Amino acid sequence: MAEGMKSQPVRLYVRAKFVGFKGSKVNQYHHTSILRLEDVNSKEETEFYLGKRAAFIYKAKTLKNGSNFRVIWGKVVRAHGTNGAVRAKFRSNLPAKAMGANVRVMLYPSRV
Amino acid sequence: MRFGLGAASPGRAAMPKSAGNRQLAPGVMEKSRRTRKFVEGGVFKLAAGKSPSIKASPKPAAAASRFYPADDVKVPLKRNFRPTSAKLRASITPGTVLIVLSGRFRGRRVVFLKQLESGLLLVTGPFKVNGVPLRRLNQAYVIATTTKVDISGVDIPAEASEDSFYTVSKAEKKARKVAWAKREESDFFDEAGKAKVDSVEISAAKKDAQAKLDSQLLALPEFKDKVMRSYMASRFTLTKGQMPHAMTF
Repeated sequence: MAEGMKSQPVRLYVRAKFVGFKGSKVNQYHHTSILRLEDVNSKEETEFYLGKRAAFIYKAKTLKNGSNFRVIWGKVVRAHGTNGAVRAKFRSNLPAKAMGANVRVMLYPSRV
Repeated sequence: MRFGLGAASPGRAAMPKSAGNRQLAPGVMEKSRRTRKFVEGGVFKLAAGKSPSIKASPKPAAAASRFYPADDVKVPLKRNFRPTSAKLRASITPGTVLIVLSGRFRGRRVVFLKQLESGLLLVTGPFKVNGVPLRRLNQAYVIATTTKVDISGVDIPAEASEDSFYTVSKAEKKARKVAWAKREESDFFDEAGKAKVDSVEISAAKKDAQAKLDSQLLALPEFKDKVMRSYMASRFTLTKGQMPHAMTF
C-alpha cells in the first residue's frame, strides 16, 4: 500500500496515443480502437505488443475507492496497417473524447 | 401483474415443496415423487458403482425401488479434463534473472529458483540484496533476461517448494477478518496519540527458509561480484527512446 501511495518509480509500459476508431468508408466501429505506439513504425515491430494489456487512465470528479483516477482495461489485438499502428479492444469502448489521449501498453502478458 | 396459469392456484400451497423441484403447471411438478426419491436417495450413484456418501445426503440411501423413475434424472457428466500446470517458457531456466512486471515488486530483478506444482515460479531477490522475499510469480508477469546464475548447487528447502507455504488458510483468513473488524481506538493510536503503523508478522518458518537460501545464494561467485550485486539491487525501467520490442533483456 505504502508503495502505491508514492508516484510510480519505474515505467514498465509503453506510451501510446489513442488516435481513433476502426472505420470503413462510411462507418465507424467503436468496438475497436486504433493506437499508435511510441517508436513503433512498422508492422513487424508491432508483433512484440500483440496481446499486451492496455490501460486508458483518466481522472473523474467523484472519489471512488479512495481515488479520483479510473482505468479502462483492454488489450492489443492485432496490427492495423503496415506502419506500426495497432488495434485494441477495451472492456468498455473508449469514449470519443479520449481521442488523442495517452494509453499505457503494459509489458505483460510477457512472452520473453 | 401476471396472467396465466397458476398465479394464485390453490394447488400450489398444498403441493409438497422440495429442493430443486419446480411447479410446471398447477398440480404438475417438474419431478415426480418417485424421481425425487431416486435423486435424494442417491440411487443412481449406487447404480454407477459409487459410494453414496460422496456427497453427504441428509437422508439415508433408500432401498432400490421396484419401479424406475418416471422422469429423466440428470446424472452429472463425466469429465476427463484435468487441469495441468503451465508449461515453463524456454527462456526461463533455474537461475535465470527475471524482471518483475507488476505488483509490489515491479521493476525488481529476481532469481528464478524452480517451478512449483501449481505452475507458478518460485523466486527470491535474494532478500538481502533487493528486498524481494521468497515469492511465487506468474510467468506472464516476468521478463526473462539473458543473465543467469548457476544455482545447481543450491539446496531449496523442501517446505519452501510447496505452494501451501505461501498461501493463507481459510481459517486464518477468517480470523484476520474478525480481528480487523474488532479493532479499537487503541489499535490505531498509541498512548502519545501517534498513529500506529500496521506491521505484518513474518512466520519463523519463512524467515528460516529465507535465511537458508540467502546464505547459499550470496556465497555464489556471481553474488561476490559488485557489479552483479548492484545490477540485482537496481530496478528496471523504461526511459525515453527505449523500445522494448528492440531490446535484448
